[in-house]
Amino acid sequence: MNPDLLWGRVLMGDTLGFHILFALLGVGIPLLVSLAELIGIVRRDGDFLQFARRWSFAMGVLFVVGAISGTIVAVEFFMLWPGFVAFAGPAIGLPMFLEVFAFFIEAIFLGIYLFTWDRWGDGSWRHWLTSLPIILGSVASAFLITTVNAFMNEPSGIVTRIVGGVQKIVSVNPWQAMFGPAVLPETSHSIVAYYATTFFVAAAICVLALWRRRGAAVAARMSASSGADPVTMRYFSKGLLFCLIGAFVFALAVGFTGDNSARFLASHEPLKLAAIEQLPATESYAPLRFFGVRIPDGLSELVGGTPRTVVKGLAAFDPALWPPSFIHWLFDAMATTGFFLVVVPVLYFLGRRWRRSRVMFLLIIAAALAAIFSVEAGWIITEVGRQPFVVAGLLKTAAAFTPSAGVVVIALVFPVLYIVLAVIALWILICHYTRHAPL
Amino acid sequence: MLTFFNAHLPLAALLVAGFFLWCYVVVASVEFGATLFLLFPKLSGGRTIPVAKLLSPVWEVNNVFLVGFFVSLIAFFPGFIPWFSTALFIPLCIFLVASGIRIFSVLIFFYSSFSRLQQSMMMRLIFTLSAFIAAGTAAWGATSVIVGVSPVLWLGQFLILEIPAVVLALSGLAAFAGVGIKLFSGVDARSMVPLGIFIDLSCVVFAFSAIVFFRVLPLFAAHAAGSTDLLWLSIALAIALALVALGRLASRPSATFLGLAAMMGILIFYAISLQYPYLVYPFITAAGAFTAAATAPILFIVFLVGFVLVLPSLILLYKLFL
Repeated sequence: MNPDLLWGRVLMGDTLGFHILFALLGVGIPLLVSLAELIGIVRRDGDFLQFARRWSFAMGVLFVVGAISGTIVAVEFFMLWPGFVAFAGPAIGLPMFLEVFAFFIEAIFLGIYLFTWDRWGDGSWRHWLTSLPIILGSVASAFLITTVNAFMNEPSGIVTRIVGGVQKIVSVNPWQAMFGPAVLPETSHSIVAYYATTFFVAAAICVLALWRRRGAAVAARMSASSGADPVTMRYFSKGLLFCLIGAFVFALAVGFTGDNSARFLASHEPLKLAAIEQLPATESYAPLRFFGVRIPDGLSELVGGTPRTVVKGLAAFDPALWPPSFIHWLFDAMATTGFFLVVVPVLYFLGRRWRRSRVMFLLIIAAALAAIFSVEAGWIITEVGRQPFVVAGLLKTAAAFTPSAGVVVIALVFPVLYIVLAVIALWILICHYTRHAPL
Repeated sequence: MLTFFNAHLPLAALLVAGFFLWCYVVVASVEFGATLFLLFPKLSGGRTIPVAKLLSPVWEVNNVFLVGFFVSLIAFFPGFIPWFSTALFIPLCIFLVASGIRIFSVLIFFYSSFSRLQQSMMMRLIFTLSAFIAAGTAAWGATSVIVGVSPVLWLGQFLILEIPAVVLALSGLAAFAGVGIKLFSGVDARSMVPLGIFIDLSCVVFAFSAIVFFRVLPLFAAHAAGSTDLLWLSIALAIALALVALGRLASRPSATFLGLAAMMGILIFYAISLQYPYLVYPFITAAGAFTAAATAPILFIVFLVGFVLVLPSLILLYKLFL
């Protein structure tokens, strides 16, 4: 492989991997904050209003980082892959242009929401209403940009022809290109995963706060001082329950949409499914391989509902087009994570006795980390599983790459920049919440 | 009518991109102008937090204008992207790194409680410089792109000098017309910050740009020779607006600001019309790089509907905070 191309892919991977962390929270936190404020208003519950207000600060900081990393993604997009933009521009231009307006709505109302808490007061319906365009804008942004990725995985609405040795779109239906067959499975799965992850992360932060305060309470009891602050404990306990209910609902939805995605892969992206499952040959009664354990007929059952379903294997495709095999292990890890994310909230809801135990707390923190991992893993599987194409079956990644030299330099600089940016953002959040207002 | 419209769709698309660019440069200048207060902690009483509180709601929106500009180019002129990204690879890399640096300062000044860092003159300088990079460097780089000229060509040189000049002037004025008045209500902000520095600096850069302009006039590109009348009209209008704007500074800062914003708009839209029908003379025409015939009308409808939806929200935002 051309070393510059490799560095270009590394850079794009770093940038997207970094951006997705902030983007997913940028999609999820508006819903978290809005629901908390709504409950606070309806039930006249000051704890929920406080929860919404405190989380809205994090929403602002994370939006700033997400907005800048998103701008970097947009610029890198055409800097590194000009061949892709030149080829797919007529088809992907519409969702990208629509996203600008979704981004506008999100940014405008984020500013209004964040900076009118004092002006319009806690518990104001008017203030809560301004959170709705943020949710709408953030979900629309995520949806629209994912439609571009769906087009890359399963191009539709276009007619192509080779002109002068170069693949070109000669006719396009922009709406069909935007709402291709991959859109529903991909957008539904990713957006609910962002929500699930956000609620798990928020739950983990509540757990950390409870843990810290529980330790302080024990110390206070031992020194016979004033003891724990019951108001704060109640605040975090409510927050934890609220977050885990949301996390559980969305984790279930991730499971359902994931199942739908697997069926879609079987019918539309069989090579990717064969690589994910490392299925060597086309067969009915195809087994599911899960961390080396063979589940007879499992794959055929999963994708067709019956063991007789024929599933295409790797041998049905040109070996030069096979994606890297490591996505099989990544997929298994992601699927395991999915089960774990459903089980953890159930354990919490069922066991009153162990809700405050150290093991339960550790499980919730592990669930938050696992949820973040599963989002990253899902995107790596989607992108790496399409290689060596950038637009499946039509445009190879190497053909879309820039001829400019010097990619290696920025590929080395940017990861450092991202690490510094993440550290500063985390530092600001930690300092804010430890010194001024706990989450 | 429809035929006329269809024939000029690429020009209309360039105007859409120019609109986003213009909004970005003007609002970025407001941001830059506000950061100037940070450089004068004693004069402004060390009031860094009000600057942050006023600017942070606007900052996020400003960034969207820049994204809108880049996405307009991708959506309307996909055939232009290979040339653009290859020719401007290094400036784009610099811009990306500058954006990263800018975000550090935005986080520290707008969201952190690190008062020691906020009071540090070095940090203030970084913030102001990064805001200028955002407003100035991106503006000239992007404008070079929109008119399809290399920075080594005459029009590029002209714009590189002219645009930062307007940004500087706009920024200095924005500090008074908008942010300054709001920040120091009841206090005459003009007595607190040496605005003259910025105006003087702007005039010097204006003068340089004029020298460059007249020196390179004979090298005027052949394709633009027929646009000489438009050239003189635009330049005259821009200079007149600048003079009127500066003349009104003492009495009406807001009118001055609007005058300079209009001048910036004239420069950008003039540059677009001058270059048209080329994006890169004589290699790429706007029509040749234009998107598919089926996609273009939908993009215009999206722009118009989106703009109608966004405009009231923008007005609400600016009424609330600026």
